[in-house]
Amino acid sequence: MAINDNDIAFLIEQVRQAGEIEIMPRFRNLVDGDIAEKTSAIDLVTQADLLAEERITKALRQRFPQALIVGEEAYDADRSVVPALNHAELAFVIDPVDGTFNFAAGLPMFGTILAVVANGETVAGIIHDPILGDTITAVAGGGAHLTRRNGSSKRLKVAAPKPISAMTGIVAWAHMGEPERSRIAGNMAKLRMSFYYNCSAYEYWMLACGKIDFVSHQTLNPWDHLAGLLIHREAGGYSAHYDGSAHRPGEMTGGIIAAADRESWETVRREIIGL
Amino acid sequence: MTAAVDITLLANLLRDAAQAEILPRFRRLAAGDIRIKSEATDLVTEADEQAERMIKREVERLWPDAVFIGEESVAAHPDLLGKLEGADLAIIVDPVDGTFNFAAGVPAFGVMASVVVRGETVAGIIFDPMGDDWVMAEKGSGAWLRRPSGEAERLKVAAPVALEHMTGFASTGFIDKRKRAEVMGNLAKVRFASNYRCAAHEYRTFAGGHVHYAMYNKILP
Repeated sequence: MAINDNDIAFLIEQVRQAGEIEIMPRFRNLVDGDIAEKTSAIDLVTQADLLAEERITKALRQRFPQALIVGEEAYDADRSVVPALNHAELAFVIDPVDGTFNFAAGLPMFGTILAVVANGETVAGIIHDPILGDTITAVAGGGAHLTRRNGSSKRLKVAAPKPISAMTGIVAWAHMGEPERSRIAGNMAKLRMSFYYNCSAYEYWMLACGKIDFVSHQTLNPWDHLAGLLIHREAGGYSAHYDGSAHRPGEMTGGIIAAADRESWETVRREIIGL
Repeated sequence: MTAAVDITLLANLLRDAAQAEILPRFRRLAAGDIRIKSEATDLVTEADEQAERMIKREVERLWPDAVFIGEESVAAHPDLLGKLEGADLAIIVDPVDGTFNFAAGVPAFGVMASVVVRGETVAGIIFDPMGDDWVMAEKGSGAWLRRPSGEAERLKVAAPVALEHMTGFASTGFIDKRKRAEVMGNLAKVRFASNYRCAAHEYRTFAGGHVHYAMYNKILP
């Protein structure tokens, strides 16, 4: 099932409205009862996550009644929705507030992510910044674009390849166990710079805009990565699992490196991930 | 001597500069608006320079006896920093803290000012242009989150926890190359180490009790 330009415009509008109505009024306005811990003190869910996901899900069900809808909160209720992404004719994957730790701490770094998956391929990706109302998007085969709230738009391109000592990159080692955790944390010293924002929306945003050189994660929650990986690929980048195979939307393991090109990918795998 | 500077005036000045010179340039910088200072990740933009110019002009008008020390003024005249210790009154300003983020279109940046009287910091202000609010403190009066509406909320750091449960911020980019790998490897011992490349937001988050530590190697005033 194909997704057309009108559908994309509809999706962007739903994400924008969720930001205005459910997310921004709650930024720096949460009371204690609005924040709950999921698996740990850094894995949080707020009223903004729940209500934004509910709002977007409802709009999607009306327009696409047959589609599979996968949200971070929906997954907590039914884990079979993720493997189903590899086969569904049409599916939507939502992260209503990516960067919930930041959102709850009052840090202005969070985004709303929406991916469209058709027959096991990500065909469209949207990452929206609810604070300023700007959006980066990609449709498979159509390039990646940044569209400002005022409608101005420009095409995105990943950074030029460079040697490891000149690279700036992000590895989510804090989510890994030992021995990878210590090995990779130490290897990061080989880079020009590394940092960590607790927000995959902005990791992919910077990657697609050519402001950083690579991103790597071990665990692949589809709501965190599918839209960003497509946008990165459409901006000219190369990504694959740690073993070199292509990522499929329903896979949560195998790790990922997203870099400027195949050679940069191999350099990061060897020098930073240490494989 | 604290009374020499009404920090509400200084706080409003930071906000005015953000609205006039910083926000209109966010995600709108042309290639020529960004320049490299000491290395490829140390940047200055038109927003830094114009905001500092505006703040400096107003500080000189409001507090003519104060020594003004701005990040971009120091970049042009490094000897300016030496005047801080001996000054009866100094006002230190970072017009855009988090310039790398600002230039990359990432909304974690802030406008900071502090007041130093004869070698002692007596007031500090961090303005966040995205949230349109300040965190600020005057020595001896606690730390406060303030909004333009007049709302205020007292801030308190998080309760202490064991090392393996700590979350926080570690800036390691300026540590000597040989020591850096060791420190970065040791960071694996904490629950979580982030780095937002923006001291303004890191101190803001730390003062709000959301993390347990903030660690820096390079300490520019």
